[in-house]
Amino acid sequence: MNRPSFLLIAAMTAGTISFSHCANAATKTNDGSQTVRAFVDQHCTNCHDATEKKGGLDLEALPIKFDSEKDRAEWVKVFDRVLADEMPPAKKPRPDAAAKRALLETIGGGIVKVEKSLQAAEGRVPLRRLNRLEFERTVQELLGVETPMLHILPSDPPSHGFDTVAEGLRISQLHIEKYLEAVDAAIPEALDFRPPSDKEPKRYFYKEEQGVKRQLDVADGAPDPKNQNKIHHQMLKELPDAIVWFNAGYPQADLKQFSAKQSGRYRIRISAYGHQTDGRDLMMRVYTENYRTRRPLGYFDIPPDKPRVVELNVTLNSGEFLRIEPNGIGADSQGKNVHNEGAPKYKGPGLALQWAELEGPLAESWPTPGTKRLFGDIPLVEVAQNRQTWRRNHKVPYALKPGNPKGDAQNVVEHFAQRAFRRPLETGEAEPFTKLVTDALDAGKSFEDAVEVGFRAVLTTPQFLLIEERPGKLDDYALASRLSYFLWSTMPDDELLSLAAAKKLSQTATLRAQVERMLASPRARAFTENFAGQWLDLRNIEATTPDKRLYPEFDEVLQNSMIGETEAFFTEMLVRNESTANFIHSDWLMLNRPIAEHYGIEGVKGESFQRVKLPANSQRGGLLTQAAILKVTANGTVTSPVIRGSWVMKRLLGKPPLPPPADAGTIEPDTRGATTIREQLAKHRNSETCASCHRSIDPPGFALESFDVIGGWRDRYRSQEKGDSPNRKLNGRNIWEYKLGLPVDASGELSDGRKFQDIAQFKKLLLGESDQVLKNVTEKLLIYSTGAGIRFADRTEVARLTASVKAKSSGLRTLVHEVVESPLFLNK
Amino acid sequence: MNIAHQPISRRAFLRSTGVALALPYLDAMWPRAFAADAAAPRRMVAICTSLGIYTPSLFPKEAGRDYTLTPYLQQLKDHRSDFTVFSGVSHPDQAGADGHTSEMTWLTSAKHPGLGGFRNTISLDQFIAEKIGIQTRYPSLVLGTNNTSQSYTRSGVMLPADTKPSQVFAKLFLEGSKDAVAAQMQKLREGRSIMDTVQGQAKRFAGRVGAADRDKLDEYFTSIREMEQRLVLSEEWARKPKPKVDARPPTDIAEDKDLIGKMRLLFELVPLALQTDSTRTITILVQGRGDVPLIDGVTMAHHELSHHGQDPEKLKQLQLIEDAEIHALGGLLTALKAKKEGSGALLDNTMVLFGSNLGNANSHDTKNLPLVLAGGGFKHGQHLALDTKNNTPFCNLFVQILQRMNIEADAFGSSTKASVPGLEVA
Repeated sequence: MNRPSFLLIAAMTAGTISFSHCANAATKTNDGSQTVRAFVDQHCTNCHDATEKKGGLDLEALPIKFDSEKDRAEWVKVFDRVLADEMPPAKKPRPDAAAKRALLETIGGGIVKVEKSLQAAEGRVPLRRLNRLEFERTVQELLGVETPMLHILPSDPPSHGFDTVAEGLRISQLHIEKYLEAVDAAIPEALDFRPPSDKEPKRYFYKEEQGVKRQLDVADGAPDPKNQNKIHHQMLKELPDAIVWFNAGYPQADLKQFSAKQSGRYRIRISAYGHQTDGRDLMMRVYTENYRTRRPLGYFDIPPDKPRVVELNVTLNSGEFLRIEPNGIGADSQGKNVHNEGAPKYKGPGLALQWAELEGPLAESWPTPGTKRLFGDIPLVEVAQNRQTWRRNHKVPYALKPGNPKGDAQNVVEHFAQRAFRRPLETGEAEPFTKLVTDALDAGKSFEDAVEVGFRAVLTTPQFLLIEERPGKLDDYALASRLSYFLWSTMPDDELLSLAAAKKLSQTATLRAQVERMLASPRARAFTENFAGQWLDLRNIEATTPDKRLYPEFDEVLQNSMIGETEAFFTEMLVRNESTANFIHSDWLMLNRPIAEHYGIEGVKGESFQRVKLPANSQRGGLLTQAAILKVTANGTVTSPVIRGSWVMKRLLGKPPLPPPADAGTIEPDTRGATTIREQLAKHRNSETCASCHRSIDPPGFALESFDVIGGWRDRYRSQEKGDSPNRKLNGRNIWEYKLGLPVDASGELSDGRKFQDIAQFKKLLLGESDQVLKNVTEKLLIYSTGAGIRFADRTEVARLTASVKAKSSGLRTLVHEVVESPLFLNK
Repeated sequence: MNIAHQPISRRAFLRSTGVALALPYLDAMWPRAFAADAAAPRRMVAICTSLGIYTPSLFPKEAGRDYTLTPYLQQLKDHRSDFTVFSGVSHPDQAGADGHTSEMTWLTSAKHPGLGGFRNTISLDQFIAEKIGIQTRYPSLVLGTNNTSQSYTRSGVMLPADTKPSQVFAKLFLEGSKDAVAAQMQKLREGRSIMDTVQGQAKRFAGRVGAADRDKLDEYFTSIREMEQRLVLSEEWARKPKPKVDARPPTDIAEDKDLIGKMRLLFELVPLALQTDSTRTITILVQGRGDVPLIDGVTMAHHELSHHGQDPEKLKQLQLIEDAEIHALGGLLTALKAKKEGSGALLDNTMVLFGSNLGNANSHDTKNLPLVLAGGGFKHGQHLALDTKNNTPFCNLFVQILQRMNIEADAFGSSTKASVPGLEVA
């Protein structure tokens, strides 16, 4: 294949034009401006002149020059509308094909020329700073600590959809203030030298808990010892080998026999089984609690009657203890609860807890690897009680004892600066920082306190905060950073840096092997979380709370499973190198039990996500039918085809619709059950102004009407007022919260007239847009990884990448490789 | 290079910052009660409830002074002559990335929030803080029921909100121990020498970046310089005793769901902070989202209720919440009126702007915003009913507020005029 021209590329999806001589065409007619003028006069200025100024565009006033960014932006719009045959509008005479081609060549060629020369001089990507997530992860890595800092740092507004884009990453005095504050929270953890206590695991039985004893020591039905007029009802049930809880409220399943004396990693094992669950599994939620805040540690699916021992390896903060909550229970099949009946008589499902075993803080090597990285061989010595320093609200039992304080301090800070800058230091570069430290020592500070000053300074320097890249091809160190922040959201590790030192990283084979290694690392989780999290809006999952009366089945576990599913789906695509067409439709999904039950798919057990082949008649498959996507595109009560449709265009197809005209108004949601959203949207069909855009925006949303605000399948809308009682069950009980109202109509018609009856047919039609989806993911990956939006001049490369990956079966991992090997990635 | 810090004189520093300011305020005795003959400073408080206010219960049917109190305005009836309710006001072009992105622009007016390469602009309060913030211990107070705020710096960065009244109270009024103050001073000085060292890195970068990158570096080094200046000022203030107030430190509300309680507690700080001239501009963002507020009769989440879909039950509950919010506003106005300042009340020198970034939260509409302006020495007591089809730019009111703050400004954001016709100084 010839090297395709930008026009070919731009036209690939639109259809027919192909040329390879764009630059020449411009020179033939001087600068080509007559060509443009003639076309504009003939086809455009009827509407787009100073008087009409339709759509705010006056083409008589727009200079036929491409030097200013503002003019270029306008011309790009003209280019795109003409290329797509949207302008001149269908009712007007069609421009002659050659004239159209000449116009596109001149505009396109002109813009590319200017952009390319700018990119050659300054690079495509402006200097960018670490975003707050990268800052946190990098500081944690440098200091060998786990201190959370995100909550301290100012949030980063996404630009072009991502918080890695330089344009959005501004710097202000506030940032510097907050960096210092964050660093001040993290450094003390690095200086908190305390050997781990190597305690044996200890097992605690739930029947020994004080709260449990208080419940069970008085017989059910006996007078309450505190208030003789009241009858004591036991809320818990004692089995020979366990205590059973029947709801997630009072009394709480706390393990107060143990609370962490010291922060650190702990291994926790819990033994539990389901009781009276009618053969069903039961989800158990595990938290830490300290009377002020609780933190979720995980969810575990517990089988009926046969104990399962779950194991967690987690960080506990000092003062925290364990709290367990059974999920989705609290009523028996008649709707009665344990408070009505008392535990002995109650026949509803419960969670039987046997014991919990805790071990920790787990013994790492001593000194810790983090300490060794920071301070090398400087010995740690025990300090007498009365001479210990306070850090993090307690005394630190050990201190560094350098042989040569000044020399050692200089080494420590120099070594730290080199790691923080992610490249070798230039001559004299560390001097200002080592001087700060020796000054502090001279002023009588302790070794640790003096070194801390140096660390603070290094962590506020431009070399650390900014990702330094120079125009042209990235050097190996800059490449290591770009790669590492792309796939790990943190600084490069030793292997990347040593390959950079050997100048090997930029070799294609090495790059390929490194990408494979990096994707296989647990750190690559950050890529899924941060890339997919922003591309697919998963970060917004909590923005709305579904109406409890309409969606009683919604809970925390389901919400987390939604995110888990979509992240697992993305990761699976990456690991198995599945075609990006799977984003439109796949015959498999990644499911755990809660999400599978939510979809009505049987036979999936457990809390972890596993690949499940979908039944042939399933409406699910692909991204659009995943609950997370369906939830972030709805508010808590109703769905809107406009919002979902525009999401599909923006996020999946990468064709953002134009914003509505200022006076368009919005649909006032009405859930009283008298009208459907489709009736309310009639105007979109009946008004030509609305229809011009909404005939493309609304159809995907219509197809998705079969899914409610939490991604459940529906034939009829749920309603508060009118309708029939649902005949299915929720956790083994009847549903009384809502009624089934008007029927759902998921049919529609694409802008080209092709019709669909339901989501399955719609997805079949959408599969015709697979190339567009591939192109969109390519663009999103390029934006996220390089930190700059897609410019007009980048279109050629986007198209080349798309074509090349398509020729290799459109695999997602292939795409990541090709993005990394693309000149857009390898150059500033 | 020279790292040892040269102490700079206060005047030299102020000269170097290029900020014109009235020095006497800094040297004033604390706490200060403004004497009748001295002009008391003007202040602004901007309060936003980001989930909207149901305007059929707010906007009176009649325009002008003889309007009939609406259900919400009933809550403010004791203050009827102290506020103006506006209808027909909004920021233009607020279609953004999603239905709630206009939260970011309530005090900035930047267009199309969150779309494409969107960049926010400076917020009204931070603009004020830039102009006169140097005269008070804190240039501004940014408060909220959670961390987000509507205060944005000149570079479009959101200032995180203080959420804990106890901490705000402590930073305003509680003196640290001698050791703590010494440690703080030490930390501030150390911060300055770090900034000085970092500043020295500018040369290293200067030679090797292109024009586009130079802008970013400038932004960085300007930030470092501003940080250094901030540290100098902080040191000055750290040397001065904090004002004493006749109030007990508040106890924070632990329950996240207690939206109204949290709101009231933040409101209680306002008169204290203003009367002691600890700051002159305060923003408070009241943001209820996924929680069910602790109000009798409310069983559904606030955000969900704001999308009432005309469901009578939801409308009923929504109005219970908003009634409580406006009742809390009434409490704030009462407190500001009770504090005497000169020959009048603190409220006469304090503009309290209350409203929302959503005109209709049910449909995420950003036009016809619910807005109330109280105090500040205007002729109030009216419903200023402006064109509901062609809204008056909200920024026109901002300019009027700025001018009332004695700040020279004839435009702000998307303003088209320097005042709102019908709103006059008393």
